[in-house]
Amino acid sequence: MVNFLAPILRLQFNLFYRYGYTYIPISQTIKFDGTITDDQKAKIVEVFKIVSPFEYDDEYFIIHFEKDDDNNQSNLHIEIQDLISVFPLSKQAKISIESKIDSRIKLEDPIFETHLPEIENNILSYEINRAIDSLWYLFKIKDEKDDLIKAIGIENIIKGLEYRKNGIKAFKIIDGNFWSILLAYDRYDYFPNTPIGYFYDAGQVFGFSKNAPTFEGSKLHAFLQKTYSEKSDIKTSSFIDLLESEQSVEEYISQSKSDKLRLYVVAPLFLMLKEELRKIDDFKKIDIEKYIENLHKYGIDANAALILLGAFFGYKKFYDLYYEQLGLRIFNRPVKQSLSTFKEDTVKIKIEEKELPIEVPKKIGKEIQLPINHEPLDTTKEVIPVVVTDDDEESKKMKLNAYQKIIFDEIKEKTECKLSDLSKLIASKIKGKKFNNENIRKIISEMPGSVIEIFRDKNSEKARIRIDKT
Amino acid sequence: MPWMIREDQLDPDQREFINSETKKTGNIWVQGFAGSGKSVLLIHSLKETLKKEPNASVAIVVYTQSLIEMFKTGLKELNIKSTVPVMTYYDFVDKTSQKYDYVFCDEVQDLPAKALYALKTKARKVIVAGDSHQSIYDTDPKWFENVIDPDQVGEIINARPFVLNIIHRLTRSIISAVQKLFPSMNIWGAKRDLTKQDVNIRLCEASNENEEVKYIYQEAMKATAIGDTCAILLPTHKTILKFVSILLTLNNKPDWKFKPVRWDEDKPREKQRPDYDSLNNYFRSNSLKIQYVGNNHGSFSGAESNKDVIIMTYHSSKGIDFDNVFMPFLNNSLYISPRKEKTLFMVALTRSRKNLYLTYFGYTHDLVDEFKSECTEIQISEIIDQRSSSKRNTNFDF
Repeated sequence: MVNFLAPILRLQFNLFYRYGYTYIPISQTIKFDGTITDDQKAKIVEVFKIVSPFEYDDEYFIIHFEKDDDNNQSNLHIEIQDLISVFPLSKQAKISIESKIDSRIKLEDPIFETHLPEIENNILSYEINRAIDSLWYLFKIKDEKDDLIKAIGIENIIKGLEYRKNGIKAFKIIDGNFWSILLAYDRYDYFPNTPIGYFYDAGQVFGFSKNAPTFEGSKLHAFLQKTYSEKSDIKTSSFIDLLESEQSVEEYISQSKSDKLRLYVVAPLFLMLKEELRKIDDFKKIDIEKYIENLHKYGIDANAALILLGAFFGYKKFYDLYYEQLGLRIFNRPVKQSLSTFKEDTVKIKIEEKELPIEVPKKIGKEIQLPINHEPLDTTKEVIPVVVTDDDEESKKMKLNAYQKIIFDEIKEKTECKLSDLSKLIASKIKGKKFNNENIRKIISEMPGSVIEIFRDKNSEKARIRIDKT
Repeated sequence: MPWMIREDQLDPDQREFINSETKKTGNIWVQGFAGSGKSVLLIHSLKETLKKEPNASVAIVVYTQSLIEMFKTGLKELNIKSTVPVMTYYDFVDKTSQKYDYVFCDEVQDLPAKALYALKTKARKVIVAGDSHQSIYDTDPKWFENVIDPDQVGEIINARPFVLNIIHRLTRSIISAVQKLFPSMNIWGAKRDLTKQDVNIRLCEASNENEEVKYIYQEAMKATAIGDTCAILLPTHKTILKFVSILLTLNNKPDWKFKPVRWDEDKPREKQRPDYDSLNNYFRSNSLKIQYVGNNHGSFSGAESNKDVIIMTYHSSKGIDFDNVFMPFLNNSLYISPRKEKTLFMVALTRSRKNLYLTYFGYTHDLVDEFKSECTEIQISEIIDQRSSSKRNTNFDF
């Protein structure tokens, strides 16, 4: 009999337990003499490189089993009786799994836990690389990325993420590298919430990289304060021009430059993008074309910011849109066209005067972008999001725009509504929209089929389903 | 709250619950801390149930009206038929004689035993969700019956527990602090989600209570000025009034003359609750940017639009998040509550998204001692001195 160790997905283990047998490729096992030494523990790290990655350490066990040695087998058939021990990957995983599996199963101590960080770091490297690859694809970047990654330093990236993982805050890092501190950094100060605020952040990170507890008191801080008091909402690109022409911050500029990159540009761009993405739960909601257009002017510095962004969020944040853009062959319908034709064929929410805007349309059921089928309203002088629900055949047939749909749904539910209440409702559902009664009248008048009518009740104007249609 | 979740977006506990646990027979008690996804799982298992048995009679039973609204939104988003009744447990016990095939119940830790017996009698299968560590009420507000001892939930409705350990809402520092407060509670953060802003817990020592209040108000003003939400949380109405009194004195305003709420006028003074509407008016008339919110006084939206700091009790803060939270007077003489002291304290501790300030004068409260290592310790006097600019660092080469 030969002893084997092998990682096994918990899901597979459950089926193994239920059916009493399973198969494991021989390449994913380690033969040993029955005593687990450091050598086997190190080999496990290698085996984990050729199995599916995992997010949580309770998704895998390592099993110890014995079988007759048969060198001709490429796939080992294992019976439940062959199992000798089951090792969770960590103490935490042990606690979590113990309450969920058959209580008669004895989980061993997690003796491989010391190697878990190495296993996880291998997965993390792939995660970072795939995230950057997907961003390169989504942002249609033609430039080479490897040199840029080298300029930032993959070790600095990993270190920065380690700080985060271990809960080490940027202001506590001593003798840290700028890029690592930047990745570990979160804003705890009350810096302005306009674009210039991200330059305060960059200054703070720069101060931390010089072991200062704050950059308050520096010439840069004084310059930022002065600029903010005069132009609180100055745009990013204008501020960069100002910064580069300002004598008092020459030392900051010269010190925060590398061969290739302007750190004082990369850092605010990255932090700005990071905050924008944090606010949304779905990367698909961003208007990527607008981003490409805006980031283009920052050249290679924007590319570096995207590298940091990919490393920070990981592939998890981007895979959904990436797959859609790739048009995976396993998808039900070809979806590749959805973004490439987005600009021409679909309507968009008006972009506010922000430099790096992200569209976050309010959800009304499931969102679907529909082709434009009417002219935008005169009253609003803007394009209107068309948002309908998959299941709402009625409004789909009627081809309502988002405002009309909100009104239609409300009136359907409440029979009649004050126009003023409808304008409040729209404002609550679509941020930044304020309509008066006249606007509401116009929106209703343009609804296909004139299904809704306006009438006067006491002192207020109300809307209801047109009686002759019901 | 995002209700629509795909299998590839679930954590392993959630995946196992939906794919395996709900398919088994018998009642289930889903146990998990706030932010572990209990409510989402309840509604997803309801959807799965209706997929398998479209004609099954199902109902959702919850604790408050706001939870009713929340679940209705979830039902709508998941395209579950709108005929599924969502009701409070009062209505379920008192007004419904109907028997259901399945009943899904949230916040079970706040229910009296009577409601649980009703669940057992009126439903063929019950899935309840809750967290014993979040039980902050002694009695229910209508029948005034004792709230169930969480250890008895499983017993009364004969349910097997299913534990959700992964917390998606809280950040690393707060989870570590909670773990130290409740060592037996196995909670941990979403493993690889390092992308959330971690809360910075500052433990701030003051030279006296006036300095403490002055610092809190100054920091809170800076925060509201940039549009952050801010809350000052205190354990009792008495400590709220103490904070207010010091704040008024510091701002050279006369103290607020206590006025009880109308329905407490006939009660003895020690049992009278303050008329916070009157206090809020007093703040406004004295140009102080602060507002009491809770028990139908004040408003969150009003405070936010007016850039007011919110002051409220630990109790009232349950279920609400703020960018910055201040917890004053955390020294060893602070009275929190004879029962559920730790739980109430934890409720307040888990309200911040960005900055949590724990301030004290003298010796720290025992509860704070348990997680001191998670805090950034600062001396308020040093910060105030630095701001007076004489000690400000000017030794920069940039």
